[in-house]
Amino acid sequence: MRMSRLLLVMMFSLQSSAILAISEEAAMDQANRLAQRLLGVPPSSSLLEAMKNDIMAGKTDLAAIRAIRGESLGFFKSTLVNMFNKYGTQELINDVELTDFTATIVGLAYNNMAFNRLMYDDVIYTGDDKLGEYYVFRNLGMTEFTQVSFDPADVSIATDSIMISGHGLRLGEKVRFFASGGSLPAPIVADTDHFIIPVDVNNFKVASNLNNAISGTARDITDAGTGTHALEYRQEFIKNNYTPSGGSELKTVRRLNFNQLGDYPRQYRNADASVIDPAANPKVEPLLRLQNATSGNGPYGDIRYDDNIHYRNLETRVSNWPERLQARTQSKLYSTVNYSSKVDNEDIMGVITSRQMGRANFAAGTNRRGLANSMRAFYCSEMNQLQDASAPDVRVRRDIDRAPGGDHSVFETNCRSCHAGMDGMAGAFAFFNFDVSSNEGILRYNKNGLDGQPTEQDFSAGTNQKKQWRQNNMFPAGHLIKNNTWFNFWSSGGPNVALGWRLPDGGQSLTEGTGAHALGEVLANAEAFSDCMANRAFERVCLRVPTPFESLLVKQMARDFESGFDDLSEFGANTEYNFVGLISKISAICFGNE
Amino acid sequence: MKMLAIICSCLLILASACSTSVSGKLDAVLTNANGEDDGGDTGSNEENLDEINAGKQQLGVKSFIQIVETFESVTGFTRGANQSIRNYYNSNKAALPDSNSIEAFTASQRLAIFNLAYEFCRLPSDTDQIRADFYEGTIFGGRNDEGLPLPLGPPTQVLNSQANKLELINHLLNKFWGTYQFSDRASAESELTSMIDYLLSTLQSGETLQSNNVTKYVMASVCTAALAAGPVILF
Repeated sequence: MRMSRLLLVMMFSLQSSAILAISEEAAMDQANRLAQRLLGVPPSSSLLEAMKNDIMAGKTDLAAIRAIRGESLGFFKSTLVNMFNKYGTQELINDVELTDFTATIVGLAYNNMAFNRLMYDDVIYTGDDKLGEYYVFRNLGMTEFTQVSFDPADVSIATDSIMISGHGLRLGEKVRFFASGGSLPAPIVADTDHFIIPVDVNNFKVASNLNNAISGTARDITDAGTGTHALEYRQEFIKNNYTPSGGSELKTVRRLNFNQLGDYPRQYRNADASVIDPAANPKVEPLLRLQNATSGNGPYGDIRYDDNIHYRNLETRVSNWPERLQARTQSKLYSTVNYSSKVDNEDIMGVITSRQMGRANFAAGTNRRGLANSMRAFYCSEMNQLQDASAPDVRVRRDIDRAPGGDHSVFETNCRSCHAGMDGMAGAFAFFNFDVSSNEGILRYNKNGLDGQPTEQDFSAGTNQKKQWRQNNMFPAGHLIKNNTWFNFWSSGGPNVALGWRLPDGGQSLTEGTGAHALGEVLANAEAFSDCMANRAFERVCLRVPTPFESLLVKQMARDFESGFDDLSEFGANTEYNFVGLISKISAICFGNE
Repeated sequence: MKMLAIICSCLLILASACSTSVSGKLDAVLTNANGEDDGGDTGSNEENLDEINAGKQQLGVKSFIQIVETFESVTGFTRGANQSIRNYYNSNKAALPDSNSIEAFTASQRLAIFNLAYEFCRLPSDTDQIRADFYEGTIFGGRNDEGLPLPLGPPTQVLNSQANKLELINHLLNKFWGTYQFSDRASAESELTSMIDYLLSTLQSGETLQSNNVTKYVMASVCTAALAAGPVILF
């Protein structure tokens, strides 16, 4: 029996009526715990006060989203990453560095994008273009030890910035300050390295170290000082008078291949033209390992995809990395040698085809894990919970014995109910293989990998995509994967109709299609995805499973999640599949009423 | 090492006390998880917990990454900028809590949290430049007109009165726990004061109350106790 939404809202309101009597200390305690649950770190006193007032006013969801969108990025850097991290691994381990899998999940949530895009869209998040600027030292005529003066009147305590008209300074550049006839602005220390955070052409802030500059963490200026101040330029490499050649400076630097010493421009050379070895001098080590891996691969062909260095550096060196994520076209990022140069976007399935989840899904095996892992991560269901004995077995592959131990009934009772549905869908991943032998591992894609007919070699241990032909004489009448077509037998009957299938907007059929992207559209549009996300949000915030009554609320929140939360539009949560809005609403179920 | 062992045992007591007082709910959860005082019915502990927990708020413990990020947030010291913290964390994070479940929170994890807190807290005690800024505004830090760190006095000078001890304690509690006066704050002040008195009364051979190093030990101890306590690591 399903309750009407109105009835649910009324019951929830009654249940929450105790909030009217909540004491200030109890509200403060609730606010503190809710903020720490969401952020992982303590809230500021001002945030705590605002959240307390929200809770006392019966607006716990507002308190939650205020915390998430407050001054800390803790929800995105820690809580959200921890919610999904393990699902990008075969072993389901939490201790994983930032990867393209988690960065894309965070990028979608942070930017108020439809969260179900993670299951189908041709998107991947990387660091933004500006992160390359740190290494682009401009030639503006300012040489090392040049000094520029400014007055206390040019120092803004309110904005923590300094005004020098047309300063020409760029992110991360090193300067020192000196006082003449007075004292420097506090807390700037004389003759000590500081690093620039440009605000605009005339104003800039200063950071205490390079990482802080890159992350935008400026010194809090508490006093403008007295007398006359001087800024001295201390960037070592600018004196080499490097002029970027062709195109934008950023483009030039992004195309540098730091593995080839001969490619270094003058800014990375000593006076005698010998190269400054970046390995020996961290000042010239690339912040993010941006590299033009293969020419002609489109605008984003510069992220190496046989290692995780880009994301590793992003996490460890850019403290505000969720703010610095930028959406890219995933299919253009792949660049492999001796294989198809790019992935067809029909085979891109959001984070399922990210490099990290590719390792979990497509290393060795038969690529069936792609479906099983997707179900676990985004449907909150193991394959044995999705058994459907009524599904036809026409797509069950040749490697599945139809009479284990000589007994066909074993196949019917133990094998078919999983493999019929799973093999029907897993064909979508036909062209992928994760090659662990290349550096840290690379996700390869070979659209021609299943041409021809199985050979004797493919019998036991195929290579690359032909791994899907292994054991092909176990049951030669079984299905042989030759392309990336798939069938969804769960939507037309049997127990898995309860997953709540709905036609995607683009007209993609529920029952069959070509490529992982189309399959992703079908899976991302089912109620099961939203239900899973809502339950996962509940367990993360409330640290337990919902009661039967709360389950009804969670289910309703899942439906609201699909259409957006209009009452949280102030925080941009009125967009479809807004995950920040969802977890804020879910928070109000177990917080604010005790 | 003797000093460290004493600190450790004191801290475990304190952390427990703070944990239970932070919300008044941990006692019930932990007591039932341990199979004691559960009303004596016949169900398993797990079943009892499920029943008790149904529909109620749960107390959770922060996971390894949440703990280190919390420590970074409240101290201002980061893994990126401090090699000793980074190395310790990378080598020992497996010993820290892996999930938010209070039921899976073990004594060894609590000890690992203490050790991590100590890595953070020894920084301002070991380095005058860091101490000057970390304890700015108290008699334990600050700089002179030339920007140089003010010297640290021995216990006979800076820990010789209740007011001075509370200055240290409240400075750290404000940093780590926030300035809002939760009901458990007073008991924490009392316990930390007792801990300072205990540490000053159990000096090792060669240590005296005229030694600045003893002040540093005490500062690191109080800092560690306040940082590894319930209000910081539980939520």
